[in-house]
Amino acid sequence: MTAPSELQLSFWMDKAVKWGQATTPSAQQDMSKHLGSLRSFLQQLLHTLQLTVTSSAVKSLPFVGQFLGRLCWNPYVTADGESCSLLLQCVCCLYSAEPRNALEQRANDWIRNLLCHLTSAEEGGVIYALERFAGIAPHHCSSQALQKMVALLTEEVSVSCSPAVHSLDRCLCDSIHAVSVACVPLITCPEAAPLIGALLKRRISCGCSHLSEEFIEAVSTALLSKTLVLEDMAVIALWCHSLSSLEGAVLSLLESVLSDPGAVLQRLEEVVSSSFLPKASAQHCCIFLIVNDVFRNVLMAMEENVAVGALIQVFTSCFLRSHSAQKQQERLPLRAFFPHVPQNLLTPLLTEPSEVPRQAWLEHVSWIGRLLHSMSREADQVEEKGDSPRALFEAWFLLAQRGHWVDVAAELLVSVDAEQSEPLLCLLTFYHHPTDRGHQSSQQIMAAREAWGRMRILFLAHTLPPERLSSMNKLLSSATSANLLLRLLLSFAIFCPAFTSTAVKVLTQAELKRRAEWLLASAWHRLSRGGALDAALQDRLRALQDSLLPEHISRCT
Amino acid sequence: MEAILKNLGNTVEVLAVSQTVFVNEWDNQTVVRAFQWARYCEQVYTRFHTTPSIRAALETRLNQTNERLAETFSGYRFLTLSDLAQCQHRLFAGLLRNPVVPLSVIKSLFDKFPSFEDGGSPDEQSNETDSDLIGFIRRRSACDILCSLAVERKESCGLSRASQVQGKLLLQRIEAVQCRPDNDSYARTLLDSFLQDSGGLGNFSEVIAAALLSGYREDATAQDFLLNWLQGHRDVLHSMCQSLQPALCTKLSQQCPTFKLIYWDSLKKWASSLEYNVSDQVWVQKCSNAVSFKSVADRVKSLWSSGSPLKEEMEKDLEVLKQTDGDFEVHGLSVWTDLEELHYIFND
Repeated sequence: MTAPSELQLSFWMDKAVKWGQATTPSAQQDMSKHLGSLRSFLQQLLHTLQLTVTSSAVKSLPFVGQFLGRLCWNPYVTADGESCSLLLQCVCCLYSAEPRNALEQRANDWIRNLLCHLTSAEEGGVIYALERFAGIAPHHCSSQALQKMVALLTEEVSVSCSPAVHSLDRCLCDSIHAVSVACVPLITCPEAAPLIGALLKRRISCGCSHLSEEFIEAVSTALLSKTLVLEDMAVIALWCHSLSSLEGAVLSLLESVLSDPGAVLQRLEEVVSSSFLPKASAQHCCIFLIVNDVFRNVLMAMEENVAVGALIQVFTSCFLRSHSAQKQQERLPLRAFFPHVPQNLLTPLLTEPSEVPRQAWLEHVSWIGRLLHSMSREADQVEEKGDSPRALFEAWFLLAQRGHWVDVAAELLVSVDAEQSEPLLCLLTFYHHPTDRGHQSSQQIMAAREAWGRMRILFLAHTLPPERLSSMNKLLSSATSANLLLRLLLSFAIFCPAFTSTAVKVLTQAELKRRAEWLLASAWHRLSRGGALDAALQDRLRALQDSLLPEHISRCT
Repeated sequence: MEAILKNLGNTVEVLAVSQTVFVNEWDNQTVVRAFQWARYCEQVYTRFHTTPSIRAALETRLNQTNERLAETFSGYRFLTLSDLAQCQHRLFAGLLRNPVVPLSVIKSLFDKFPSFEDGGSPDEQSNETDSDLIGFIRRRSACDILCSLAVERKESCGLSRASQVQGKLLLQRIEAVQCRPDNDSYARTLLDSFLQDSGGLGNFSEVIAAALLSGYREDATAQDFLLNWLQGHRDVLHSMCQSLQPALCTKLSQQCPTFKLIYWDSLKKWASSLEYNVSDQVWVQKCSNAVSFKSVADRVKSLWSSGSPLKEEMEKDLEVLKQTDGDFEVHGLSVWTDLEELHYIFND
């Protein structure tokens, strides 16, 4: 980190003079814009001061004392936690342990006075009297005072917006904007949360309400870093108000899943629910549509990424649960959330596997498989005429959102005969290769059929010749539809009790193992949600998961 | 109990020494111990201050120690019982202000400003630690920013947001003390010292007014207590009548019958002290610090505009006063006639 230049210092000194004690709205507006860069500058200054003695700091940065002093009298700066801390650390750096001259001695006295000013109320004032009277420590007193101040303003901000008042009087949007500017340094102050919430919610009841950009940005950042906790309605209001904030929340969820899949894997549902996105989506259709737009784009860019697939699947399940938990009269029909999906496909796919009797699964999934197959063929013809197959894409995306049915198809393939397998294989192929058309698509189905046949023989055989194992290995690592085959393989491994260990021998490649982990996690999620996870299944799933762990870990456990 | 009293006395002595030259013998270890004792004292206070018998013993010991210290150190300021609640803060501020405090001690005080990373996590912020000075400074600054915001405030009758907050804190404290039996005289003493510390009736009046108007609570025991205390402090009540905005006095009159009586009495007294200047045809006050006719008229107008029942009561009173003065209908003879006339103009 380089030392601040004289030019920089004089820029900030000018600012400090102009801001004064931050009493005017225009000063606060300017400060809200500069708060971030002021923090960086203070950080840079602190770094320099830590390396120099006071008298030489005063020589090389002649205004530094005055600059810091002015900021200490500016409540907008001292209300911001990070700025306040940096500022005080800078001031403390200027304190000379052994003052060598009058200048350093004076600096020391000045610093003590400054700290007294910051930490003690002036005698002979109401605040001083009240602190003495209150019978609690001053920091508790200040916390209570702030809570009450926030409660007052929250009331003012909320009341001034009720429709009856609004229609009679002029709108108070200017002052609301000023309040939002004033709140920028207070975002991470827990006491200020109700006011921040009220400002955000005001947006819903007053269309012309205008909040400062810096405020929205600071709130979004603090929410993501969990340094601010808001009530549900306020978060929804924020996301309805600011597209970038909503996108930021979705991307942060994606990032947490993609950057550290190992940590997230076991508690995917918890991570997804705690993002609050499913619940907000259920309450506000437009939030759901935007979240899905982001997912759709990511899925298209990373088509074969099983982690993203698992995330979208879990998100959709959480969303559906939140939706059905709402009161009947308050919730929008699900149709509104999936406007482009063919109606006849929507209900069968949105139904949970657990809601369909087990003996009807084959019929249910076969019906979906056949419908998708015929849609796909129709789309081929439309595409030849030059139309883009929107409905088909939406059908595929819905299938990705409801991946549980894909798992069910794979599960059923373990026990069905060749004739019954056809629509199931169609469904699996369509899911893994949605863009393949005509001849290519038929080829993929054929390849899947062949692989299924080989796996059946492999898993039903009582002994396992090594050449079969290696050919399966080859198939998994070379085939274009590696994920499809992996899904099939895991399905056999989970539901064919005797041969769990066979799969373990096949899964040797690191990349395959990683993808297998995600598929197992999502299988675990589906089975436990559906109440089908008996002890035997649990044991097999756990055995499979353990076998996928890096070797040193499995040896330890 | 004796042990507690002894510790209390010792801690008060430590606090006194921290403000003298003897502090130059302190090292960091001494400071750490001093803060521990200060914390101990705060706990003793919190635990016992609303229990009359123990409080009396604490107060006796405190006063004895105070007197002894005053003999030893010239310029020693007596510590009150409430001060015990903020021992650590007093110790901190005292050391900062004391020029002979050793440098190493000052540096250790700086360590009480924890860095942002250490003290900034949300858990720790809500879970207040005694050394969280950054949090303390932040909250005070936040109050400063918020109290100056200009949102239209119809309900406030000209009360500043700061006064409203202070009024609420005042009531809260009275409630906290009063919820334990036999604490009335203690609460009175507390209000007396609050008045003394406030630096003038002006500041104080607004806070009291805000407390009386604070919310529409079901349980108004604390407000009743405050009114009762005010009746013993006529000077404060008169200052409120004179310095608070007319709209605020009207609102207080609507809510507190006691205030209404005193306010109306003051208005009558002010009005009757006015003299008519024939050459200028205006009512003037006899001395410069008395209340002007305009000011009285504004206040009367404000009361009228509040509607029933104040309006009717005023009309009746004014009619009686006018008749006592001779029931004239001409300008300049009776101040009541002229005030009543304003009423008619106002109503037109």
